[in-house]
Amino acid sequence: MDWITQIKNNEEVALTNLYKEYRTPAIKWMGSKYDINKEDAVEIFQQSVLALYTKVIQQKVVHANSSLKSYLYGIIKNKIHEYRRQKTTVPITTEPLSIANTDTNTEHDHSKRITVVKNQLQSMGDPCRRLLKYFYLQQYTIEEISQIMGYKNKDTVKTKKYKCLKRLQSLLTDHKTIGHGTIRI
Amino acid sequence: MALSEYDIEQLDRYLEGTLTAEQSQAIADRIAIDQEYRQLHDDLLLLPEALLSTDIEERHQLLRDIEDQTKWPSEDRNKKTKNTIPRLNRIVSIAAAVLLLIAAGWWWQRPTDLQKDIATLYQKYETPPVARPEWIVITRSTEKTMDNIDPELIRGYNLYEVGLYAEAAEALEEYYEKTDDQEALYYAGISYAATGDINKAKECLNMTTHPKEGEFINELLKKIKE
Repeated sequence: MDWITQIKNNEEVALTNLYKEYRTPAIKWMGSKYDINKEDAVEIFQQSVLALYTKVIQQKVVHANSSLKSYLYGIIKNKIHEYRRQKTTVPITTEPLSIANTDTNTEHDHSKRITVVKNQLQSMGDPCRRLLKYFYLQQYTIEEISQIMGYKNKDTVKTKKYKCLKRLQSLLTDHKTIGHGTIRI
Repeated sequence: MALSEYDIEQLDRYLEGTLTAEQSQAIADRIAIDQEYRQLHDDLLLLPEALLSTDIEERHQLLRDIEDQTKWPSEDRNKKTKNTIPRLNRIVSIAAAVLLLIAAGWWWQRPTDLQKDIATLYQKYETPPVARPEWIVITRSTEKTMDNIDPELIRGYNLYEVGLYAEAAEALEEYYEKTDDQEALYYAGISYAATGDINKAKECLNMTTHPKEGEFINELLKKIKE
């Protein structure tokens, strides 16, 4: 079984094994080659593992053409460049944001709403969240979800999916009703 | 008006693009006028991002937990830096140990009166006298070459020549017992004499039939007796 399948099939176990196997040599390597201190190297390594995980679950990497180590170290290198850019960027003194800045307001609204949806997803728990994740994030087919989650057939999965969406919508409506969901003032 | 599962299904299919053109237009019209429906539409569009963000946060927490709960081996330059002090300490310790050994060796190898006497006596009988450090005056003379000397005997002689007489005596006597080598017994006796073990020195020197050193042995035994 290749490393992509391992991550897809058993995310938690695969990530734990990956982390334990590569963490120490990667930190050593970052220290010796890029002069990065341990604390930053740990954070870069964690971000790299998460980036790798994201690529796998979003199906952005589907063929294990290169070894896990090569792929991971490639991501680490990119994260190191990112980290260095951030370190060398001189912080600019920010002026008070203009209320008329529509883009900023839209961005702010977007991230605020994402947080609201996230919170309600978290309160939903499994199996709804898992099902929605398989469908909307990992883009598994209904058949695949049926097999993975052990449902009887495709119709059961569909019914379950709409029930979960309905529940999420109710949670979001309730959230709005009690006064937390107002987006625009 | 609360949205039904059917409303949600239709909206979901609208976003999937699996509705007919007419059905899609009907949904688009409703999104335009129904605020609750529009909000659900917007939230469904945000769903993948929100799911990913939730998932990543949880995975990040998992990694942090692994980081905190695992006892990692020494892995980085920070730890190496931390180890610099112990390493320096080790070097200092080794240096100190070497100095102590040298000091101990010097103390141990200081010529005793007996050794001085033996040295004087030995010099008297050795022809020609060989220049040696002031107190390491006992040396051996042998006609054997390095090629035909047993390694155990070489070890005994080497111990003798560096002044480790107790070890030399033991090694040479052991070699004599195995081979009946008279020269080894002779130097074992001198080594015992140098350590101050008079009885063992006498025992060895009285037994030896070493041809060249008879007079020296006699005088040495006499000296030891005094």
